[in-house]
Amino acid sequence: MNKQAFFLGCVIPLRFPGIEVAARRVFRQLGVECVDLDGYSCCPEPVVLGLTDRDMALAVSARNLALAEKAGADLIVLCNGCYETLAEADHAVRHDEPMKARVAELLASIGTRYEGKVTIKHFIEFLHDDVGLERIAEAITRPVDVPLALHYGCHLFRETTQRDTWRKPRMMKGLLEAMGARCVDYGLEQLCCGFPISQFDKDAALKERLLPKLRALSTTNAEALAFCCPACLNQFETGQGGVGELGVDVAKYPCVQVLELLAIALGMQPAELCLDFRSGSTKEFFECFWG
Amino acid sequence: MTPEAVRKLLEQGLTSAGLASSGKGKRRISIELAAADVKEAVLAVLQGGRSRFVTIVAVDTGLDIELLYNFSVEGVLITLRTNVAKEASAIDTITPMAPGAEFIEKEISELFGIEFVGNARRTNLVLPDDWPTGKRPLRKPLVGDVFPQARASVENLWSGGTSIRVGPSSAVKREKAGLPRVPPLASAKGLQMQEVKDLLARTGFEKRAGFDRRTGKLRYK
Repeated sequence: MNKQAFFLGCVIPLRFPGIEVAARRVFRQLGVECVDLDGYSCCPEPVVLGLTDRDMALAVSARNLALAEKAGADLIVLCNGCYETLAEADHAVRHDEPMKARVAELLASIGTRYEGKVTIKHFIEFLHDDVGLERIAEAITRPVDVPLALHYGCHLFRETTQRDTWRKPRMMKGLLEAMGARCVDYGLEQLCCGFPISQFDKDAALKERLLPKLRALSTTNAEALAFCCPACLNQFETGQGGVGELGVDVAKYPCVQVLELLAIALGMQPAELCLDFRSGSTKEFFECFWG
Repeated sequence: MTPEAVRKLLEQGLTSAGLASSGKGKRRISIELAAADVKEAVLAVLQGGRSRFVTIVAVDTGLDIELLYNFSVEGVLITLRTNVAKEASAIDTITPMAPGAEFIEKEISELFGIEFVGNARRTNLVLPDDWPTGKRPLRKPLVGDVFPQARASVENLWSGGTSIRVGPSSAVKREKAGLPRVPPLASAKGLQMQEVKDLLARTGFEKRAGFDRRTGKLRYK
């Protein structure tokens, strides 16, 4: 088994460093040694950059994979978008011969290569399959005994080799339940957060995506909304303020990331999660239940 | 005269650095060169024996106006291709060597807004005399391959290797979280960042997108 390296992405280390802190603590406490992927770049982000130029996106992505391969590491990816980009680039390089040749030529021009030896796992997948829910449940010292609604994020449904697109979303729910959370159904778990639409029409993103989800949530007893994707989390945290500006009166929810919850469940204090920079009531939520 | 011989002749006559040539069919030669080298190249073509100027074709590529100078040399069509950046929109006239180019340069000037410096013709050729100076019927806005919503992300990727800007506020947040001020990104290591930039160039993206290396930004907003 290769060693493990975090693929932090852009959003977590630059906007939500508390999630990076939580990730490092969680994996260390569960006995998984993770190194940093030194010199990595944007995955690149699949919605805007990935659609801008496929050749460029694949080459930049393959360079990140080459870095991991050179370091003899497999990747644990902390972001849904990064996971999709890296997994698809890896799949293309392994299975698309013309693309493989093109990427090899481009990587050779900067003195590197990628031979497809890196295993890429979403952190949800790694925790579920490699660490195991039983081991996680045993390590928990402070169960997350709170009703939570889930937002999976579209890219969590992406699979490159399997047909079961619910594989990772089920894992996310299982992981939260292993922490002691009571997962609350609201019927719109699969609906997009609206981030891609917001790039073109911010109001439409709020009205057609965020608002229906908030209205559905308001019929439940959920105390917070749990995410694994930092882009979705950001869209919800900032978007809930935007919904207020639309003149719509709807309940707002704290937005929490799975790794933050797991860190708390493993004994970390809310004050260590760098919550001061978060929008909405996320800090209050953590302090109310675990402060 | 074979295309190869024409190419050799041109190469002997041209001293400009960076001249690239490529054959296109048996009786066609296409040579790409910098705008500053056009005059010298034209001189070389026209000095090469029985040769004549045919025409100039202009194409608006979004970022630049591409000019294709066509010459016939003993039945071989030689095309000298160059790009004139829209920000500059000016190139030297070739009328001292090819007087027949006067009217086509003027037509391109009126329709695409390229100034052929030194072209003596002043009166309009195809547009009405009272046509507004700044309005060029065949000229598109200055724009590259990057759609408006992606431009900030693309500039961030080029300058810092990330889709969002690595600014002072992220360093403050990270420090408060007890993390190093800068994550282990390529931008923190010069050589690694250069690799990312080289990839952007080698995929052709830098050119298609229209990066300005001097400013580190796209040439359009």
